Amino acid sequence: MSAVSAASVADATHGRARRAAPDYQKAWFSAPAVVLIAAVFVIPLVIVALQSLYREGFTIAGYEQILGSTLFWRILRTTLEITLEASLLSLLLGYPLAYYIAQLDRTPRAIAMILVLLPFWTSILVKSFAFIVILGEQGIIKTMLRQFLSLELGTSLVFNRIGVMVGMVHFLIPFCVFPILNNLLAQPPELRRAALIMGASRRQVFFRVTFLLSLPAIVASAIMTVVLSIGVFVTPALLGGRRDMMVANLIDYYTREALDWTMAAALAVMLLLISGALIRVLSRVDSIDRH
Amino acid sequence: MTVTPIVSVRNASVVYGKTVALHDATIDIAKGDFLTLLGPSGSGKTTLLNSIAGVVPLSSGQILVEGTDMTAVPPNRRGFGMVFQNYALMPHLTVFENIAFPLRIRHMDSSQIRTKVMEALDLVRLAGLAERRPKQLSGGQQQRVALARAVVYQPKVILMDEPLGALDKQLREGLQGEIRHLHAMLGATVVYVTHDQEEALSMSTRIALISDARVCEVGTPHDMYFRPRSVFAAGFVGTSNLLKGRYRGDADGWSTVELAGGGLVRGAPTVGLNTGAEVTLMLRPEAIDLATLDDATAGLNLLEGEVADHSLQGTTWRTVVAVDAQTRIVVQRLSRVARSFPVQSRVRLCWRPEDTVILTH
Repeated sequence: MSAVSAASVADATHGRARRAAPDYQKAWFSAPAVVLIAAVFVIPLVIVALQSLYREGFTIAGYEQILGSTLFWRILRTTLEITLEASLLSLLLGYPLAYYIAQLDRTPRAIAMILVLLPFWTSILVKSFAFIVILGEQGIIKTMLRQFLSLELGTSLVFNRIGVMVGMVHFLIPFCVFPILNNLLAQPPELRRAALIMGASRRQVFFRVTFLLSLPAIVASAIMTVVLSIGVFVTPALLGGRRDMMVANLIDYYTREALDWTMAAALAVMLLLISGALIRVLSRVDSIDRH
Repeated sequence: MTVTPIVSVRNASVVYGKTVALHDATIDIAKGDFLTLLGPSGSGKTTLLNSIAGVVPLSSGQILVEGTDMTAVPPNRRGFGMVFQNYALMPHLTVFENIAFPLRIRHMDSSQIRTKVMEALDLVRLAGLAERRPKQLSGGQQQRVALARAVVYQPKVILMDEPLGALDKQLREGLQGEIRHLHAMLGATVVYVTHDQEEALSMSTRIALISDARVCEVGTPHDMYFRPRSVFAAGFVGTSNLLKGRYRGDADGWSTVELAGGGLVRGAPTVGLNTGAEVTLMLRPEAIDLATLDDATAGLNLLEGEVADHSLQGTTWRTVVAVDAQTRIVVQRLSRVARSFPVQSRVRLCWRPEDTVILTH
């Protein structure tokens, strides 16, 4: 099995870089990785796919039930909403941040990059609980607003969509900043200089040169954030309200509470297909740009 | 001389911390000039070019454009064009759009843009490649696109920062011709940076020699080659023989110099020298001829020596003559007409007094 997979992996990589002659001997070096991925990812995935079609015999009842359920469609809609909102917000906040960091000198840039990475080093569970404390009714933000501005916010900041967004954007920002920062730093400074000397204003330089050249990185970041947020489950569970349930939370419900593994598996397969489709669309945008 | 120069650099200095990148540079660029900033790498010539462009701010001094102080004006409002060594074409735009870029910035209407871009493409003979991406072109083609982009909006001055530095010799020579042709045909004003003295000599109307962050000499290529005013210029531009000596006064309309290794030599009259002053003589290799000891050589400077090396370079014979233990003189004579001398033969070096340039610094 592993030998076959190794060869097919080699084929796939070969397909991407068609210029180099295939070296099947070297494909063996990928064997350990292939075995590992097969054991912990591919095989379980196949099992999940099979499970979704099995309830005391072959059945498509799971899928029928899902497609017929209004709950599923509502949750799917929420999932896509949260995914797109969180991705968009992260890009909107991440791009200026990356742009700013790219202008910094070496040392401040390194410090800024560490600051951006910091959320990475904390468990998402810990962060979520921290946000509950910070954003809650008696949390630091609401207390400060009350104390210093005598301002009482009409809405809660947590256990609703706001809470979910804060948690998710906080988690996603590094995934936006780094690809974009890399791209910005790799852009030859002469291009901006050339545009400037040719008469472009700073705004024109940004929109006609810097921004257009960073489009591939924006798409890469968008793919990353979409993939990461579509399956998110801790954040909406802890920081969201009842209406912020996502597909992953529904899967969790079916596996652990309803104990209906067929449904859970069918949902998982659906989620996989949907994120696959989204990535497909996004990478097409990328390839249009690159042509 | 009442014509206002198109660009005037006045006492310009650029200092980064403790590093002086440019010191007190003053130079005028007239309309239609092809001024080359020539100097070794790290001499400050690119810094000078970039301060004219406005991308490197001056620490002190002024840049005037047509008499108006532009020192504090940002690069996008100076109305210049620039060609870079690495082309700096926009990779996301086609050749057409690259050349159209400065016109789109100026919100020109699209039919006009089309006409102008096509004219510019014709000018650099790339008309068929309008829809290509820069990456699909060779280095020489990319640089021609960059040239088209720099001329298409008729900037007041076109700045060129070693535009041929990344190309191989043959391509470089071809493009040198094209740039010269563009300059002549458009009547453009060009400021050109290079470290290649041959390029500077063949292309410029004027050369500014830059060394050690200073503009040390400005002149026409002809002056720079035949009448350099400093030892540095004599050594950097072209090949030269430099001989040490002491000034011994004027005679018969010539200045005489006693060489360090002995022998009196006459040179072009030089004013303001004190007798006994240390001077350096410059002799171009091609200004010297070789003769046997009994050839008639009236009226010429003469030095005797022994042929140390003699080789055919193609167009010329290159002969090295040892005059004494320290002094070796390189002589270049046309191979088609000049006599060949075997190594170790005794010869007489002879050259006209007016071909001897006496330098004091």
